[in-house]
Amino acid sequence: MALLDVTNVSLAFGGVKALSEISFAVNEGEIFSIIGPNGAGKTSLFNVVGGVYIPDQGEVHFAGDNLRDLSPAKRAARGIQRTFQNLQTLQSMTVLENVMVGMHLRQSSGFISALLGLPRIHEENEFAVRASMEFLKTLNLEHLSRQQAGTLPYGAQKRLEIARALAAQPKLLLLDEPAAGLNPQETIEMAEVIRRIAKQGTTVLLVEHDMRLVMDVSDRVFVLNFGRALACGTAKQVSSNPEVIEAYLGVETPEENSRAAVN
Amino acid sequence: MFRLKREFISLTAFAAFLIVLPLLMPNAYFLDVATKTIINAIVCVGLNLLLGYAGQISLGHAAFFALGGYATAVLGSRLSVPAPLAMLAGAVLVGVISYVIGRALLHLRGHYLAMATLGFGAIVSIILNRELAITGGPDGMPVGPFQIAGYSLPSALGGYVLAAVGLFIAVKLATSLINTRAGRALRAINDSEIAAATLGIEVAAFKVKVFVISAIFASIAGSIFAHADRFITPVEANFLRSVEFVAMVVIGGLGSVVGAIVGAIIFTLLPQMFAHFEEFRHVLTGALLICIMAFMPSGVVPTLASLWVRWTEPAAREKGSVHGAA
Repeated sequence: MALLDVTNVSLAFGGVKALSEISFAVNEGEIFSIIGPNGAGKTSLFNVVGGVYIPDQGEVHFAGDNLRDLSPAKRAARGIQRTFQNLQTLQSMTVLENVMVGMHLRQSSGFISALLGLPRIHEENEFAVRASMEFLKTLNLEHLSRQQAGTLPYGAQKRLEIARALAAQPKLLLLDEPAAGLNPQETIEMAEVIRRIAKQGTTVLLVEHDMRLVMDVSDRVFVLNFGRALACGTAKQVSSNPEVIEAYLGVETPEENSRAAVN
Repeated sequence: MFRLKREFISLTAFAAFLIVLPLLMPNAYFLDVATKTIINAIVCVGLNLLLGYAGQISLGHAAFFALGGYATAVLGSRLSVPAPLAMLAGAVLVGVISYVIGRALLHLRGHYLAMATLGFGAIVSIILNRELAITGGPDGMPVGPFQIAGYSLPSALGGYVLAAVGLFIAVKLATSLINTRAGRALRAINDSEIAAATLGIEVAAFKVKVFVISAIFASIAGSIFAHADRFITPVEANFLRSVEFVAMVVIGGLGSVVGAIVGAIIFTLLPQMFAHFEEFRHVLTGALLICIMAFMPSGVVPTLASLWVRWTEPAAREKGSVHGAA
């Protein structure tokens, strides 16, 4: 059974149709990518899954449950985590604390025991520090653990968001353009990280512009154009699909050729 | 481990300071000013949790303060309920009221809490002024000393000791909150509500809890005030008092326990220091506060702290590079 099932989802902002009757299913353990030209509706689709937007029509099921009325926090509790295209690191907190916040759902102490400084707080903190350092190591950030997150370079903050999301041990991880703003070397490392995440059993839903990264890591690719599904298949199938090539590269029509000749 | 040790040392030093302070006061007037400052600081340490960490403004903390004070006055002095029980009853009452207000409003973004607490403060003020039979109306009512099992300290010093113990406990509670799961969740909400929510933090529920905690701090401070002053009037619930509490926290520095205390000290002492300028003291206080906000927009304590870091940074950086090389 599919882990994430998006059925017939439509979303409009005023008169603008951002998504029209989108359906796809993501299987457990796979790396599933959503691509498309700018404005194709990738981020809108992402926000529908994450709970930021509620679709006008259609449904999103996760592990068999309808997500419709669940807030982003409730979706997180079900096992969905995400990163952000425009960074949302916790700027005033340290790198280590960012990841410790990621462990929020795995721990349970509240205000009363915190205010009273009960012994369990101490144990919880020690566990959170140890576990968080492991996640920082996975993303090559452990040497920066004491720095304020806001002072980190862009690429490091991107990795920090992933470490923080992983700390929640999600079933499904949504990555919103993880390679945007990274240099080629960093992009190669990011591909390695994404593959490792999937290998450890977390399903990955990826929105990305960098075609090399997408073709490199994806088990399946879903192509959006003007809010409509254009194609879905393996990287190879999609990249040889004439409609996809047209959407991305544009195909010269005879008419355009003649106009070019006149000019 | 290192952090815990440092926290222990700072708290011990703080306790020592509170113990020594009354010995340095030349007369009863100064001791009274110190007591009032400490009581304001208790409110500020609580309000800072709401304002500095949850990013919400309350304009009703004077009302919570007054409710605590009147609970002590009415229950403790008029109905002879033991003082600690009367204080507790006030805290429970304020806790329930703030929970109801917060529950209704804190899932909304924006300044709804500020507006609602403003209205709530006005209602409390009117009730305290009008219900002559219970509250004594605008003239207020006398309050007995804080007694446990019939024992109490001599009056002026008794007020100070009660306030100092209250502030120490408030600071201990607030500082132990910051580096816990709940404290981190609060700071995360302050940095990015979107990120906090996607990490599974129930943002609205956390804001409600902090609002209740900070209101209870104000209520306890109000009870202490009633015992220390041996009198309470509806002026304590005045809207301007609520604004003063907010100003203290902002001037001292949002998100800093030390800042909340420093803000309370500055705001309480300035009018006293300028006392011989008579009517002009408020003008001078206002002018100085404007200067503080103009030159230290993030508050006195965070500004000084970052200056200190910049001043000591060369040494720190050197150490860091050696560490990095090794």
